[in-house]
Amino acid sequence: MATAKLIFDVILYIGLLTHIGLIAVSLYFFWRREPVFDRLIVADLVSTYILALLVILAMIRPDDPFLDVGLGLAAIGFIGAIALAKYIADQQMF
Amino acid sequence: MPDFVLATFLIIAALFVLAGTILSVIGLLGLNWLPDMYTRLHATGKVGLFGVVLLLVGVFFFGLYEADATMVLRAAILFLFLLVVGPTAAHAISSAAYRFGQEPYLGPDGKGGRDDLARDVRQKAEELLDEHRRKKKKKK
Repeated sequence: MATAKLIFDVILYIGLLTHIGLIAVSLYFFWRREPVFDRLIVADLVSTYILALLVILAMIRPDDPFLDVGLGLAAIGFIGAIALAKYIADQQMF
Repeated sequence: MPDFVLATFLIIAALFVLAGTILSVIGLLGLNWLPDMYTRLHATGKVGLFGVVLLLVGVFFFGLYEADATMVLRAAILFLFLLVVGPTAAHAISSAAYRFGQEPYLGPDGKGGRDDLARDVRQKAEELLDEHRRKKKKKK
C-alpha cells in the first residue's frame, strides 16, 4: 500500500515537472512562430496544458478546489479560442 | 475496502497519469514536426486534449481511492465538458483558417492530396450562380 502510494506520488511529480517544461517550450513557440493561426493553435495548447497542470495539482492536494478552477479555465479557453478565430478570419467579433 | 483494491486503484491512476503525460509530449512534438497548420492543429487538438482526458480518468480512480464522491463527480463533469468542447474549438479554428486563406500542404511537389472543401465550395457557388441566372431570365 505504502509502495503504491510512493510510486503514484513519484509519477505525479514527474507529470507535474513535464507539464511545466511543456508550457515553457510552447510559450517559446508562441514567441517564435510567424503565421497568426499557428500562434492561435499554440495559445489553445497552452490553455490545455495549464488545465492538465491543474488536474495534476488536484491529485497532489486533494483538499483544494483545483478541479473547479480547471472547469472555469476550460470554459474561458474555449470561448477565447472561438472568439479569436472568428475575429481573425472575419475582422469582426459578432 | 481491502488494501489491495485501494493499491490497485492507485496503480491504475498512476498508469493513466503516465499515459496522459506521454500524450501531451507527443502533441508538442507534432506541433514542431508537422508541415502545415491543419496537420499541426490535428496533433495539438487531439493529442493535447486526450492528454488531459486521460489525466482526468486518473483523477477518477484517485477519487475512488480517496473515497471522495465529489472528486469523482467533478472529474466526470470536466471529462464530458472537454470531450464536447475540444473538437468544437479545433473545428472553429480550422474553418476560420480556411476562410482566412491558409493553404493546405499538398505534398513536397504540391500535387499530392486533394482539397475537397474547395471542390464543395466551387460546386455550391456554381449552383448559386445558375439559380441567379435563371431568376434573371424569368424577369426578362
